[in-house]
Amino acid sequence: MAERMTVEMKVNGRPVRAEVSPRTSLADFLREERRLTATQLACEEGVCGACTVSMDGATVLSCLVLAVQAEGAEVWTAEGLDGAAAPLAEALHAEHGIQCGYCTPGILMRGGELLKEQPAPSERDIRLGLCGNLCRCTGYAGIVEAVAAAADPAAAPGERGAAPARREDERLLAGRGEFVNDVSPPGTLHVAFLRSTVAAGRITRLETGAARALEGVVAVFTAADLNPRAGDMRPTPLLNAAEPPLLPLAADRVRFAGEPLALVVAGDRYLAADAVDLIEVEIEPEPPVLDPGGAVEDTDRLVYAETGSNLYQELTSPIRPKLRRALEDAPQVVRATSRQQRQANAPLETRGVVASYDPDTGELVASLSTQNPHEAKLAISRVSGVPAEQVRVTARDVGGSFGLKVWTGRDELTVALAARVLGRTLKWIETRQENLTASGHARMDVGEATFALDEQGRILGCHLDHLEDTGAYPLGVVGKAGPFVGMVFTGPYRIPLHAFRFRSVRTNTCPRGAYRGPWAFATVAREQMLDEVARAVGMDPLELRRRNVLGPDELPYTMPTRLVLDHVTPAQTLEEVAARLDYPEVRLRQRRLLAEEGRLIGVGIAIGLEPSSIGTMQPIDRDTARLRVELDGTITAYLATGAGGQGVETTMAQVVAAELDVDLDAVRVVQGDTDATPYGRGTGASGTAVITGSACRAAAAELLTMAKELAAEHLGVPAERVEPRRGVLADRQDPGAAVSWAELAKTVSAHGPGERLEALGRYKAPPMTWSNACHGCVVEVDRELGTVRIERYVVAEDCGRMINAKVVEGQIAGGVLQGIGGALLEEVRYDAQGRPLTRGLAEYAVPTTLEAPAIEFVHIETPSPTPGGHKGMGQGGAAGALACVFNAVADALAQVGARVDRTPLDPARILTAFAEAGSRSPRPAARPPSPS
Amino acid sequence: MIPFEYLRAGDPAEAVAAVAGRPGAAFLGGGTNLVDHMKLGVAGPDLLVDVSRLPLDRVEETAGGLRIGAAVRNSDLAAHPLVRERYPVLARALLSGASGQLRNVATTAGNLLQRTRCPYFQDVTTPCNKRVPGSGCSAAGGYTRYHAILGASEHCVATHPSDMAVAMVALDAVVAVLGPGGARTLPLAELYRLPGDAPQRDTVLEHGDLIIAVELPHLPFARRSAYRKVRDRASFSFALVSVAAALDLDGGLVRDVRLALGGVAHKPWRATRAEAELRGGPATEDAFRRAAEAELAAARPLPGNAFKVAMTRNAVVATLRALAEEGR
Repeated sequence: MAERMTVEMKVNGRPVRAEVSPRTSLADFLREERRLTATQLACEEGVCGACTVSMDGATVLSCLVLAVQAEGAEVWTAEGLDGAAAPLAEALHAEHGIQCGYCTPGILMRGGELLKEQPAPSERDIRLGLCGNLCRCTGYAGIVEAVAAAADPAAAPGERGAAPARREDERLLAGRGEFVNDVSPPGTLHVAFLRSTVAAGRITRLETGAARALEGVVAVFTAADLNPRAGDMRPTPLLNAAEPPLLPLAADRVRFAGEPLALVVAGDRYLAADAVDLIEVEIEPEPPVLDPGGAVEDTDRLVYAETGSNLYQELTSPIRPKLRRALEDAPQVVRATSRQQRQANAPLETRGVVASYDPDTGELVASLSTQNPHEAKLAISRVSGVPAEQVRVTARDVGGSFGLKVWTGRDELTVALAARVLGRTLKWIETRQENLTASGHARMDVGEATFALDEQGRILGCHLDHLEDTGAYPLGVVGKAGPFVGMVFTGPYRIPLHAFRFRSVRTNTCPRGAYRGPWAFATVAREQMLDEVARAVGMDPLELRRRNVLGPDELPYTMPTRLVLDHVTPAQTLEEVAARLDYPEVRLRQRRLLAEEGRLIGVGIAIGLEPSSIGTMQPIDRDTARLRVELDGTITAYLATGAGGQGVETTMAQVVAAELDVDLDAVRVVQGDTDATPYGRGTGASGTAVITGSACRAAAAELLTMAKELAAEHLGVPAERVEPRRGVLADRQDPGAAVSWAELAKTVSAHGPGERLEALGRYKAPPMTWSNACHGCVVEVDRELGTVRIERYVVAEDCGRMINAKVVEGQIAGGVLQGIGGALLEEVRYDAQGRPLTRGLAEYAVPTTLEAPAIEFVHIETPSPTPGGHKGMGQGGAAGALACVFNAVADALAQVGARVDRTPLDPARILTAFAEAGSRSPRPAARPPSPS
Repeated sequence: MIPFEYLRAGDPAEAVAAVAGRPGAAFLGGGTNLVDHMKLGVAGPDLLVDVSRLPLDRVEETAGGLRIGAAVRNSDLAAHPLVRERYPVLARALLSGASGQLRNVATTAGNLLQRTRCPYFQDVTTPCNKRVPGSGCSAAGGYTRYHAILGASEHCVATHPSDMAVAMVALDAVVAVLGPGGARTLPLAELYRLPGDAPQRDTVLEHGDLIIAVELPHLPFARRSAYRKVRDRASFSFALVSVAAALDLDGGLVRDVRLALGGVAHKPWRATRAEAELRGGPATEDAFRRAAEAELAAARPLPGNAFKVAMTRNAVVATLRALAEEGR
């Protein structure tokens, strides 16, 4: 059994002969045996297309093909293509069809086949052809345009002066990206976790003897081995929080299905998985706590017996008498409910770590898929006990994250600790099942709000009761983001009175983590509820918004929660969307199609405010940048960022190039290495443009001050006369007198070995930088089948001065598609026993090319008062789109009396709403009791 | 995935002998379903006999019909000019399943023999009578969105996931099987079983039986046929409900009809009651609805999938209506 077989095939034109085990997949053969790492693994069940290769002239998914099946075949991978020079690669680069790059090799392979089969594909052909290649970043717009442009270069959109192409792309297109799974130092051992399949219970037996005895197994760790050696596992901002402790492995109880029980270290990942299967475990199950609503009051079933309650956090702002009177006596009072389902970040690249500890030097080096290398370094140091100075974290390319990798997870930290204990190099790459059951979940919020309005539909006040499910182990900054929903709930509206209650409950489910806009429920709930209010008072939702949205002369505006709103344009974006949609015409058409053909059209609008670059959110409220002038005159920017597709290497180079007036190509960005970069915030919370960008500006200003003085000496003029000009430092008054950056760098280096012309810049964010956007869409709901088709999608947004318009649009489009996924498709489900039902990307329905609408953009650029005039905008698309699409569907349904109050609006839920329409009042309840 | 041996068979007889001679052996076609199940631990063969490169990869014209080799790839079958011309329902069913890359590998026989996507069947840590006979059914009282409303038993409420098979059942396809005892043919509709008290058996095939071809009979009116699939997203989503239909009109009357349903039962469900109701009757929306309701009179939805009854009825009506309009 299991003997190795000889396979012969041609890979990228070269004959290959190797011995393999029959169970080795073609993907593993290519990646591990041939070191061809362009081919990526993301689902390993044939759903996502990241592992697409060509075999005998047809694309196949190499995760589901055995290497032995490729005997005699001709196999091509992305490395065998023409690198960045191939027409499709060039087009993907030009059209910003790449963000994190994890799906890119698969897109190149499949897109190439599509163009061969259909040299002149229609947009529909392209979308159909690529619907087996998931991309979680781009919203597919740039990808679809790129395939079209590769087929017909004349069809490519014109040049974009303000949007340089991304410099990250070249390595990603050539298959030379370096994701954590691509890192395999010699002697790497592989880790697999044994996880609980039970939601709640007591561990009665854990027998690892058979696993340890398996040939090729190096170690099996249980809680007894690792927990006593582990330092504090919580993220830095939560170190002082009073919570039940988080430990590497479950010791006596399990609190969610997916919780790690043991860790196996073996020679390869197949062996590690074999050993996991040999561990005998018995857990005495207990009834799990699953329903967050019931969990609040429950004192019998507790996630933590010692706490006496499942309530994790509660924050109440009092209902003052004026608000109380409004909620009781206003001419119109409406109560509305909004429920958002449990979601997953589902980046295409799962989590992963390669951690190496050298007992001789005492150094621990970890490659990690992370947004935040420096925080990872601190956390690894705390957990492993290795002093921070001797920990180095690197992260080259990150295959998407959307908040999941902003704080270093329990599992990565456990692996780093195990590496420290063993003194070896350990690699753990999360499986997709682990990613969907044990990494971090998101959303799962319930909001109930009461709105008081006058006769004209002006909102007098509101109250929000917000309940969030935080799972079994409250994680990271999320514990602080929940109350923020209530704080910003009134959003861009003139709502003078507001109060809220926030409660967070523990349940026996996967911990809640950060996901694109942890405050998003404020937008989602409010915008969905405003439509419900409009229906209840018999007013068009656009008109209700017009009457309440803040106009330009009302700014700055102090919200009831004392947050100050300024430099935003909600009313303008609302009007832009209404105009683009031709709103009155859509309403007429909606009525006509219903009357004449019985068709259900819906229109939805949602206005979102995005609190970016929050100055009170330590430690990610500040950043540091270091700029160095190299001897050849180029500039290197050393940043603490950990970009996962945001194009930071491009946009920050743009900022530096503009400040120094040098060629963009003369600036290089180095990030993702804690040894090379100054301590900083990483990438996340919509903070890069404002915070990191401002740190870059500060560093550039400092560098210029130094350079001007050096140049002044060189040119024999006062420093005030020196200015940077097109790549040199020149005398303002004598166009011919200039000195190059290279000369200045050499001048400094002549002072001694290691002397360099360099400068550090720091920036601390002001309390809040708001960006805003209005989303509008038109949908058609199939009355018979309950399916939804998005006809049009418009976004009018204001993120201040844009550094790179295509990067901005890419962020919005990606967010919008995640929002559409949340509105219509995506849901992480448990059954009544707390067993995870969503274990792969077959069940977690991330949208494909065919669900992605073409997005029409309107940009308004109202500068923020921060140095570059930028505003963060990476997250808001997901919140705005979810509410916008929900509203459009609800609008369509309301015409026939059907109502919905939760997402996702999948065909089952919509048909159920139709069925219930006959049996209940089509209008929301009038005049509910005042909130307690 | 537990270790196994691998053998590439030279001809069908060798393949059958190899599997028949070893209880733990299994045929390997494209592997898109089996390899996935081996990773999940749902399947654990100790020998894989690769039949994907047997010379069974041709689509041949027969007396008015087609004979499709078992190893014909789904993408090639969907693109075949005769399939597109004579049996558009089959081409559309194929294209509505999986993705281009999977269709490039998946074989005709492998597609027919796909196993259910029931989340409990695929989760080896939960009881499942189909995976471990007698262990119980976790879906009963569990999550049933994708589960059966017709023909289920207390032991199993799983559905068959294939789209292609639904079209083929509607088209009266016949399968040619080579077994240890020789060759035989049987109607595709009889290949599949209802779960009864032996849900571990999806089909009537015995160990070592190898499907070598599917025959589609002459059915001229299948040129007007359609496949409609209701699902959450456009790629890699299994049918909540699907409908395969072919309609033969005589003026305003239904001369003949073929109707099969997917996503509603343990097998591709030939809607014979609805067909009987329709034949000779008017081709009107009311008649289509009555026919669908006649078929669904036997529906026994579960707590989590009551929506499927209306969805199935509406999908049948919508599919037949579109075909009728196409004919006018």
